[in-house]
Amino acid sequence: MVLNKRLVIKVLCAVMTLVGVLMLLPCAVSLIYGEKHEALSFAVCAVPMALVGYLAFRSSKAPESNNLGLRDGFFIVGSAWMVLSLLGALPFMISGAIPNVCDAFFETASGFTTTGASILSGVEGLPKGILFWRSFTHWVGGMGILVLTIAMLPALGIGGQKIMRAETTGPSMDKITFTFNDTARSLYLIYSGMSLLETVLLMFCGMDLYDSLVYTFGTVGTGGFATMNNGLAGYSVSAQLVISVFMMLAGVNFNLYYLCLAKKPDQAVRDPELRCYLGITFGSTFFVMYMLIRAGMAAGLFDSFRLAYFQVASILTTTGYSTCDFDLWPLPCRIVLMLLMLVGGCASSTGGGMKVIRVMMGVKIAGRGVRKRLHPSVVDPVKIGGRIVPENVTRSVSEFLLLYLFILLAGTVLVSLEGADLMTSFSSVLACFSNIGPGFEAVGPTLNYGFYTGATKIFLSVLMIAGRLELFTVFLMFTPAFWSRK
Amino acid sequence: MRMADRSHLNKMRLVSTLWLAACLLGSLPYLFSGYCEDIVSAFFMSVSSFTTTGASLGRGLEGGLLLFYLFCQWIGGLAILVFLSSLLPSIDSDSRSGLDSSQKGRSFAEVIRSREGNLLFLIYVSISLLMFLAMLILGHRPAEALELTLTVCSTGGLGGSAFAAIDAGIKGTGVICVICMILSTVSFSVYARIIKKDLAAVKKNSELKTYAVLLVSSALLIGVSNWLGGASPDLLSGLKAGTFHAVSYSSTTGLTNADTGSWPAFSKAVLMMLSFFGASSVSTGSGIKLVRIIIAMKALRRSFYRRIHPRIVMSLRLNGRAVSDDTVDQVSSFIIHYAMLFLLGVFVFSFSAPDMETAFFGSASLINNLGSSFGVIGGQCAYDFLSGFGKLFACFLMLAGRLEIYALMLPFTYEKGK
Repeated sequence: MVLNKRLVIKVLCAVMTLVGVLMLLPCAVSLIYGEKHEALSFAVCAVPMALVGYLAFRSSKAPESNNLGLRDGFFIVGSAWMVLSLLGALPFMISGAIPNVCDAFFETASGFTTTGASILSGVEGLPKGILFWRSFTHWVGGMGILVLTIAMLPALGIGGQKIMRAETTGPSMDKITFTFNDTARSLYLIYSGMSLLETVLLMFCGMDLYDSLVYTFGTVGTGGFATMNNGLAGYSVSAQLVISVFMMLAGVNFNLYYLCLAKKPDQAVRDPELRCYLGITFGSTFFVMYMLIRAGMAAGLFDSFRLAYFQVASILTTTGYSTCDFDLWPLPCRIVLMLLMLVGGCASSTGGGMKVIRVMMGVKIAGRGVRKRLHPSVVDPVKIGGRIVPENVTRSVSEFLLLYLFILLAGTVLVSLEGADLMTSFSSVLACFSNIGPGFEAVGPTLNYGFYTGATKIFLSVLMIAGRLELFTVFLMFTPAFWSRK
Repeated sequence: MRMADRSHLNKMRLVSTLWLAACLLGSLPYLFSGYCEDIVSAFFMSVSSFTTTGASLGRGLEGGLLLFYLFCQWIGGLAILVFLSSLLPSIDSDSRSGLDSSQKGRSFAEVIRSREGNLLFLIYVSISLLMFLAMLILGHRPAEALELTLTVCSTGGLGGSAFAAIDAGIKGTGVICVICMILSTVSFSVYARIIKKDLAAVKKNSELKTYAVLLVSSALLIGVSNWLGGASPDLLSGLKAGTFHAVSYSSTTGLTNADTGSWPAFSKAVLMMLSFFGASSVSTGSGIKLVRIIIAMKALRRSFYRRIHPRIVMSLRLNGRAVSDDTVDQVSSFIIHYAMLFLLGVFVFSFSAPDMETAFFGSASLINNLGSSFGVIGGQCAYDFLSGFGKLFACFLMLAGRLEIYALMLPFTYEKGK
């Protein structure tokens, strides 16, 4: 294997330091709420992690070159996310909130990958510091921890492009600025600005600062961890609306916001993916509204809109918040939600799933397949928004879709070994792999993943990380080709 | 448009018109006999028989009508063999026409007059005759033997009539059925090779090898899972049930002699997976077809390589021959299209299905031309829960699955470059 080991170690140390520093925040929250035991648990994890990470970072030998190969990029990102989920799980275990290793790993992976799937049957009794950390992982994971590390440590001086490509979502990354660090920094600026705005708005809607922060983390990271057992049902309608709007915003390609800031909003509005995304959202919202009114499950037009829009936005952006038990809705509504789970947010957003742009291309690729079969000599490129998509991109998109479907199938077969019914197994895999959180039947919005055995929890956690890192980064590490010397 | 394209298109048009006409005409007996009250239900029955699905409306067919239903299945099986070998040969690298999708298929007349066409017919008829004789020797009544033969050789399904009762009556029936289902699922080009004494090519045929491995391993897995899950009293009966159902589902026949709906989730998941890609390319079985899965897997493996070595040039090989990029694109777009139609089916069925499992596996079962399923459909293959529109859409799914989507998509495509 020809990994640039020293560089890999250096980056991993930097990540570890950063996690340690970030953990000081929930530690402070615990102190404010007078939770001494939890504050101590956080401190016990945070301080050694930050110190050891920093010292190791300083003392490790300088890499022979700052040249980052493709393999190094994949390896750094994949292993960093595994390490991250393990380190992040420590406070849960030390404080005793989630004593089991597998459970804690699942919960943390679910947090960093912005899945929001939980093994906890009740969260209301848990200490505030623990819940804060749980939601804070969403915010950290939403934009990518390595992007954050490299953006904050330009001293590393390594080509971040490869890492960023492995960590951001979507088929290809558009360069929005000339240098990588500017891109990362501007993305984080937009992200932070959005979070700040939502927190303030939620406080206007009657939430206290703590709740506003927790729900903001869950929303802009498209995560979905809540502080109440029944999700958002207990909050005011205005708060629910604010959250649903911000979920939608977080599911949009962040580069479009940059375009808006760069005074080119007309380009952003013309984006075909954005239009399709809005079309899907409002189309499904109206469909669900109609079905809810017909089934008599909503008290009126506004009520049905509130329920339908919130749930559609929450599932499409792969957040996973709920304002009611959607598993009790009429079957067509549930199937629509399941289809939305497959689609997911836009490219370069914090959402998971296949991504709107890939689904658009998939539909066009399928249509072209038919036309080619019927008129074999037709030259027929795939076009998105009037622009021709290069063949290598369509090919990699169809490979992505195939791999996605195969993993879903294989995952369902494996998880069905647990003996839960087939729809539970399928929706567990789908909800974890697409980074949504709640599924249907036994893993519905009011239930949790606690009943699975440890092995399945680890498997689902790996699926979450694989889904978050767009499949190939994680699965590559399991191929012999990755480790061969060639 | 080029002339070759035009004639190819005309052939596809002819095929889809012929299938629709046959299905429409074939629906008349169900209507006139009073088995179905409305034309949509009758059409559903007819499509289900011609596409070798074997779905029914919950009420058992009897006597002459059952025989007609099964005979239509047998004819449908023959028609699909001709269709696959004449118009859509391009995915089977073993067939003479090769892999290049720019090669047009030959006309029916050419195929039927050719040696291969004769071979197809001969093989199909001789498997049927052998099975019929075997059933008679076992002691079945001629009518019963004929019924089983027609449905097993076309990988159709009994349309609600309980196979369990027939199977329990005479020992050995299940074994013969398993053998004949396997024979009908193996690619017919393998037989052509055997007859030409080209055994080396048969040994190299990766679809055949994969089918064998898949079948044995899934039979074992289902058997063990049934035994551990308590669905079978002991390991041996578990393995027996596992083998029978693995064969039945992978061939998309859908015969069952046990209550598969109550089996452990793992066994059910394996069965459904088999129905999606258990059958081989030129056979009466339906679904995505094994060869496409093999090509897709190889393409995925290559894409993993490409991510580490972006400039690598790797040709994809199947049975020792290179597969063109065009074919790989065709295969992946086919699978994506198939998945989309399946999901659309789940959505349409969700309006009338009582639960999620029924909608999900009903759609899977119809697009794979399987027939039996889980949920309320069960081994009885009862689709009477579907609304009128649901039944029409079910017909569309069955035909799309059977005709490999393309022929049926004609009305939905536009012509470029006129």
